[in-house]
Order: sequence, then structure tokens, then C-alpha cells
Amino acid sequence: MSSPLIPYRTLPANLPEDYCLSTRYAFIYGNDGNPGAKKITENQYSLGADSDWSADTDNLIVRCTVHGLQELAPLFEVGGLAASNGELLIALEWTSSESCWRELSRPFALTKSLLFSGATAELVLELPAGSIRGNGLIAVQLISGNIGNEGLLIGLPSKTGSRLGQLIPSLEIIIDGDGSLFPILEESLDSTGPLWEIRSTWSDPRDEPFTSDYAALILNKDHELFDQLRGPITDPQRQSPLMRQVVSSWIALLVSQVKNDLGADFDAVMNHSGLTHDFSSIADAVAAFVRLGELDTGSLGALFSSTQRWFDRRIRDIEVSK
Amino acid sequence: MKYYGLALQPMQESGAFLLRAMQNEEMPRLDLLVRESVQNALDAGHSRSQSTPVKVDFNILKQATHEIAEIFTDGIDLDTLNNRYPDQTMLLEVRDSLTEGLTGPLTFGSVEDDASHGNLLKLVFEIGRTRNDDGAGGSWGLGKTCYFRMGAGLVIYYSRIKFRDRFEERLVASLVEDETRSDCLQISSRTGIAWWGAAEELRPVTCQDQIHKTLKKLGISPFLEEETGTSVIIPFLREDLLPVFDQDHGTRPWWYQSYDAYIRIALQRWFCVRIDNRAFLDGPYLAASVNGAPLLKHQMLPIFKSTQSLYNRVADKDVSRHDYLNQQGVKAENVVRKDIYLRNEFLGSGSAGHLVAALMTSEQLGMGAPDNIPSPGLCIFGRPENTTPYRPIITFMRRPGMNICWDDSIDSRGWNGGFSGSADGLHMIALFVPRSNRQLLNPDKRHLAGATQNLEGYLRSCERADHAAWVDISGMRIVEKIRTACGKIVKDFGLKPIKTVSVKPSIRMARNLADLLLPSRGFGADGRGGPPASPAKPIRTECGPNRKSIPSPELDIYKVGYVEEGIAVSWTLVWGAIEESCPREILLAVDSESGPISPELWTKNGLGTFPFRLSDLAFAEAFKVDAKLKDAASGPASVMHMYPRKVDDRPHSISGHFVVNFVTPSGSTLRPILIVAISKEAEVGRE
Repeated sequence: MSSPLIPYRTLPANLPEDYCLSTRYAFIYGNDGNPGAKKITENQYSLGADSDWSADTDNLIVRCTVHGLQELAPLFEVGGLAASNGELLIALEWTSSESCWRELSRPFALTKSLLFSGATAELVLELPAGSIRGNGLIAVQLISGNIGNEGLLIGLPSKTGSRLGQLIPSLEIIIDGDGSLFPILEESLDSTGPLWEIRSTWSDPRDEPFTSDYAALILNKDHELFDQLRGPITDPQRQSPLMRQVVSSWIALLVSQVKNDLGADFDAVMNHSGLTHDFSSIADAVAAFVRLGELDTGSLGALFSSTQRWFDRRIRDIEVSK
Repeated sequence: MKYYGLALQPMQESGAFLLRAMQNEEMPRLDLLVRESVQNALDAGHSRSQSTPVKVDFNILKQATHEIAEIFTDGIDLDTLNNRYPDQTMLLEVRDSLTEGLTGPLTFGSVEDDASHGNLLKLVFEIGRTRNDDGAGGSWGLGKTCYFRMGAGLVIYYSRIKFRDRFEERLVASLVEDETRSDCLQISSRTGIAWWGAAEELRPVTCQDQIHKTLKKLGISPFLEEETGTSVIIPFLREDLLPVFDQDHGTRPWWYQSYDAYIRIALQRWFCVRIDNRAFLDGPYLAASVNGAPLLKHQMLPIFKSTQSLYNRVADKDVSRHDYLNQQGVKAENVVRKDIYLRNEFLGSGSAGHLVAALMTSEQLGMGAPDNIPSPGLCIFGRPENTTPYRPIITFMRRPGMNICWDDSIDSRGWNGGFSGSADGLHMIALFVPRSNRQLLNPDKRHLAGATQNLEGYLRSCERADHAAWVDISGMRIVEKIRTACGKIVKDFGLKPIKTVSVKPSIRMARNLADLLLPSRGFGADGRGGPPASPAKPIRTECGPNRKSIPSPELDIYKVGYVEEGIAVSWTLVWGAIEESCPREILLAVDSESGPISPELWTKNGLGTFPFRLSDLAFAEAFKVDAKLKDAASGPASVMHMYPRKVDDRPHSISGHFVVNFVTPSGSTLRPILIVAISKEAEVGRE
């Protein structure tokens, strides 16, 4: 058994147990994009709700405003972490074992005089595109600056940049989960190319996951009707009439292809309830479509009709629930 | 030789039945013959080591009918024979040597209990008995029936074996004919099945003189000196064994013009990976000849040389520069070698086998001048393919190295995964070789027989009598999974990547559509709904070991204060139950990313003076223990040993205090670490 000791004093040092800093977080990406942060629990946020933000292609900027800095005044007194004329630094820190990555924001300097000026600390941390995965923690870290020379200096860190502890509880950011995604891609297929197409590269729909690597709806960005696929700017969640047709046709085609591929096994797969594998296969997705939409797979015509009816029904349900 | 006709009995097979037993009417008979006879030879030579040959010679000769008739005067209707085969007849000898020959008992009566029936009884007297050894080519015991379909149904087996340091020769003949024919060769038979053998009983003739006289009448040479092997002699060879070549396909290739030319190509078609290939993995290579002309690697058609070259890449990624694909300048990016992985089928990890494929130009396949070799499709399937895209061609095999079949289907669920051919006019040639020894998962639960515990055994059980396809056993999907995985690789390899498009995931649409149409979780890895659902934890049952851990000594630091150049530490040590009588020690070390650095290690690594020192030791209840500070190899005190004052009265816990001093300037920037342990010092040096 081993017990590490810290060679200098750290938080909470002489701070009272009930000290309280007020913080406010904001998340953006790009210039002013909304990454769709949603509070799940007190200290946990997920990203991506009704948003185009993707960890693979977009950065993530976390802004944290800290109020009530005067609560930190004891840190500049005897038993604190800096001399009365010293300087402490606070910074936002991102740590993630799943990203194997750690990043600190530019620090904000605290002095005793500043604490009582009513100032707030604005901390900004930018995480580059393609750098974060899984989940990670955002923390406000206290770091030693210029320690100063007034008063009793025993137990203070001898070096600038020494970590002194975390001022407020960490915030957990969820990047990846098991949330469903519809396998849809945008590609440049030339203005003479089709508006959309199905891409099916699976070898066995039972063995490959329902991801755009194996089954995808490809939308042609170069097509003159491409813009009509998106919903109105005022309500991007709303599906355009053209998009409804495209998606329902794609689903019908997918179901039909999987049915042809599986042959006599199709019914057994459709009747199989519950997922037993470590991922959801294309066949599982088709089974979900058929089950949720009560799709009629008896003939191709019936399949197309029932898929359109299901899609329209879902849109109406959503609108009613709004 | 004496005639032994088989009487009609209950459940007795008839000649007409046996002639149909293979149920393969689509494969040319000469191909069936080559596959069966070479497979038998390789099975009989399986004990020979790699890089040594098994010889198989196909000899076609003409022989006078009356010479042969003299051997079978007993039981044969000579008038019918002479009517059917006036004057002379063609005779085929398939002769394997460097093999063990037709070993084993001569009669069923001499088989002891469960002992092996031996090659002789299996080949000559048994039908439909399965083989137990996984690596064998045959499995159903029906393949030999193809011999009877090559001629009048008469087959003579001659063999020389080595038995207890001496050589023994054996000769026996059998006849299987359709008993319903009006011109049967046998004078009287209700089954159409008969044997000719020794005069005393139904067994092979073993008298060397008699055998050699018979062979002379047949025009066959006996095995000599140290030679062992088997000669299967088929007299009265049919004259219509060459497959019909469709005139619409153009000029008839040369191998459709004579039996010997056709057999040379058939040998390549089915055994190309083993012919003259010293790199063959699973046993001796095949040294074949037709009418005395050896078939060497460099004489094979390019498609078959390419296939052998692909096979050699299974064994070794780095093939020699003499390798055919290298010689033809096939670029590395036009060759792929991939493992085939199956989920939930095998014990342990690893692949089910390898798929190797190459994209080759027509020139690399010798189709241009001056060679003008026919297309791969013509060499394999007998139908030319002159327009692009050329259909991909794939073959696969078990350990014996015989191509099970060639497949050029473009069905999406087939071996080629729906790949319809390379757009730039290249020929795709692919080969799958399974890893035979992969153990199947739960063979008992899947009701597999004992011989199908591994992949080789399973694939063997998936073959029919003609070994021309793999079809999964009901309820199993191994072949299907292998086929689809191979198809995917072939297709991905054959299709050039799409270059022009810029792909961008429409992530908001993906999320919104998923919210609309899919279950919220499970069909993706998006984080918008929060962390993934945690997997169910295994339920701990009452059974099994559930021992309580015996407590080790523990150190509880309950107060830390800072003094000039040091840290004042107040602590409590819980003695622990392990090795209670041993003293305890608290060791001071330096914390690092690679673990604690002890004073000894610090000194050994030449890091200078150890940066910390223990001092000002005090105990709350000093009467319980004796304590001693120990220096680290002439450095500062860094270890404290504690001995119970009374040997039979160890304290439960001890509280104390000491100061960790920073001995060097680096001490205030490094992190000290306290390690509590059972001391190995015993009481040596105790004061």
C-alpha cells in the first residue's frame, strides 16, 4: 500500500467548507454553431441534440464564466496558497481517458485586489475537430502563479504552474454513446447524377452493423433539388415533403434488399426479438423498421405504400406531441 | 482368375445403382476420374513429408480384346465381350507410386475386431464407408464408383506393398455393370457386381508369377525393386469420354482432341496448387505424368500457374522472384491477401482461413501473342469469355489441395459477392484456403459428429460424394459466412474506390431521422442521448471460491502539515493479519509516472542524493513497538522498521508522527510517497 504526499499545500487549504463559486457554461462550435448541448444530470452534458455538430469534423469551444471570486480571498491569507501579494491562476481543463488527451485553456490570473473588484473570470477552452472521443471531464483548475513574498511562505509551492486542485466539481461531457443514427451521407455525384441512391455494401445483413459504411442513403449535393430535401430554416427538424418520399423509398428498398438476401431466413430474423450481439446489424434495423412501422413486406408495392404511410404517421405524431 | 459373382440379398446394392451413386452427371467423366484417382493416390501417400513427391502416372494404351478376355474366361460371356469390343480396346492405367499401396487384410475374415480395414478392402470390396481421418480427400466411399463408369465396368487393381520388411504384390479385379442391360458381360448375375481373385477364396491373387503373367496380358509393367504403389487398370475404355465442345464457342481447344491432352489439363484444373509445388503446405507434392510425359509447373496453363502462385502466398507473403505472378510483373496493389474472420464459430481467436486474389491483365495470363493461350473461362469451364468485364473466378480447397470447384458466379450471395468483373478489363482470380485446425465452438451442442470438431472435418462433412461443393449442415452457417466474407473481399478489391465525391455525413439529418424512425438507442454511437447503457453485470453466484481477503498492513495519513523544508505527517498504521509476527516498515520513495522510485533505485540510477529524509519520529503509544530508522545505502534515513515489543501481543494499530524533510532543492518539487509493507528484515539488527 502506498500513500503519496504533496510537497506543498493544496485545495481546500484554508477555504471554508461552504465556499461557493457560481459558474455558467456555454458550448459553441465554429463561429457561432450550436453543438446541441443538453443537460442530463447536474454535472453531465451530452452533445448533438438537433445539431449538425460532429466530433469528427467540428471543433468544440467551451466557455465558462466564474462569478463570486471574492470567495477565494482566504487563499491569499495565512494557511492559503499564495502570499498576499502573490498571484494564482485558474484555467479550464479537459481530460479524457478515452481520447487519451488533456488540454488546458489560457489561464485567468487572480490577485487579492482583483477578487474584491467584482470581476468575473472568463475561461475559454477550444478542443480541435477530431480530437475528442467517448466522454471527458471539464474542470476549473487552480494553478500557482507568482507566489509573492509577503507573509509566511511555508507550505507554498516553489514553482509557477504547480497544480493546486480543482475549484468546483467537474462537468462530464458525453461525446459518444449508443444513440441511434440514420445512415445518411451527402456526396457530390454531379448535377446529372441521381438525387439520391442506396449504397449497400454489406456481405451479410446479419453480420454487419447498421452504419453508413455498409448501408447508406446518399444524397447528391450537386442535384438541383438537393436544397428541397432540407426542412425550412425556421424549423430544420421538420422533414420536407421531398425528403419524406426519399427516406420512405430508401427504407422500402433496404427492406426489400435484405429480404431478398436473407431468403427463407427473413421471417426468422424479423420475428427475433431483442438484440443479442454487441452491435445492431442491418437485419436488426430492418426488423425494427418492419416492427415499428408495421410494414407490409408481402410485395414491393405494399412495402412502398406502408412505408410512406408509416413515415407520414410519425410526422403527424411528432407534430401533435409538440 | 476365379470369378465371384455377388448374389442378390436384402439391402444389396446393384450395379445400376452404383453407377449412379455419385449423382454427378454435369462434370465430365475424365475430370471425375482425375479427381478421384489422384485424391486416392494422395491419401495413400499422405505419410510422406513435405517437399517429397507422390507420383501419379496416367497411361493410355491399346490392347487386343482377346488378350484381356483370357484373364476373365471364368464368368464372362466372351461372345458378348467380343461383340462389344471387337479386335482391340483402349485401356487406361492410373498408377501411383511412392505411396503405400493397397495395404491391410486380404479378406474381411482376417480383420481383427475394430482394426482398420486397410486400403485394399476399402477400395476393392467396400462401398459407402466413410473415412475417419480429417485430412483425407475422400469421405463417402463412393468416389471409386467413377472407375466403373469409364469403360465396361471392369476395373483391375494391382498393388505392391511393403509388409514387415518384405514386398508383397496383390491383384484383384471387379466388375460393376448395369444388370438390366441386355448385353451384360457376365453370363449370369442378378446384381451386376462381381470380383475375380484367388482360386481358394474371394481375395486378391498374391502369387507374383501369376500376377506378372496377367499384367503382361494387359500390357502393364509390374512395380520393381523398392517400388510400392497401386495401379488401377480400366480396360475397354469408352470412346465418348471427352466432353462435347460447343461449336458456337469457336475453335475446339487442343485438349478436347485426345484423352491424354484432356487429362493433362484436368490435372491442372483440379490439382494446380499441388502439381510440382515443393511449397505445398500439407504433405508431399504431386508429380504427375501422362503417357510418360511429366507435367511440370512451368508447363501448366497461366491460369493454373497463377492459382498455384496465389496458394503459395497463403503460406508465405514473401514468395520467390521465380513466382509466376512476380515473373509476370503483377503489381503489389493488384494482389490481396486477407484473413477471413467469422464471429461465434470457433474456440479462441484467429481467422477461418485466407483469401488471396489477384487482378491480372490478359497479357499476364498469356492470352496475347505469341502464346495465344485461351481465356481462363475456357481453360476452366470450357466456355470462352472474350468481352469485358471478365467474370471473377474463385476456387477453394481443403488440406488435400484439390480445388473443390471453380466459381464464376456474380450472384450477390456467391463466392464473388456479386462482383461482376473489373471495369478496366482485368481478370480477377481468387483462392480461399481454410485454416484446417480451427476448433469449432460447441460442436456437441450443435450436434456435430466426432470427426467434425475442427474446420477441416466440418468442411469435409459439407461435401457430397463428388466433393464438388461445400453445403452447410442444417443449422450451421460456417460455409455461408466464409462465402459471404470472401465475396465481400473480392468485391471490395475488384471495385476501384470512388474518387470524385466528397462525402460529408449529414449528421443533423441522421439524428433527426433516427429520432423519427429508429429506437432511440442501439443503432449507432451518437452521444446525444447520454452515455451508453452499461452492460448487465454478471450475477455472482454463491458457488465457487469467495474468500475474504486477509488484511495487509495499511497506512492511514490523517494529518499533513507543512514545516520549513518539509512535511509533517501524522499517521496510523493498521498492523494487518498477514505474517503477523513479522515487523512492518514504512518506506519513503519518490513518486513517478513509472511507479515509485526507491532510495536504492535512485542511487543505482545515479540520480544523486535521495531528496527526502525521515526525521522527528514519535509514537502516540510508544510502549507497543520498537522502531528504528534505517539509512538508504549511506544516504538519508528513508525506511522505518517497527517491531512489536511483545512477540505474542502484536498491536492492532499504531499511531505516530514523523517529518519528511526535503534534503535537496528538488525535494520541494518532487512528490514523496510512503509505502507500507511487511519487512523482510526480520529482527536482524534490532536494538
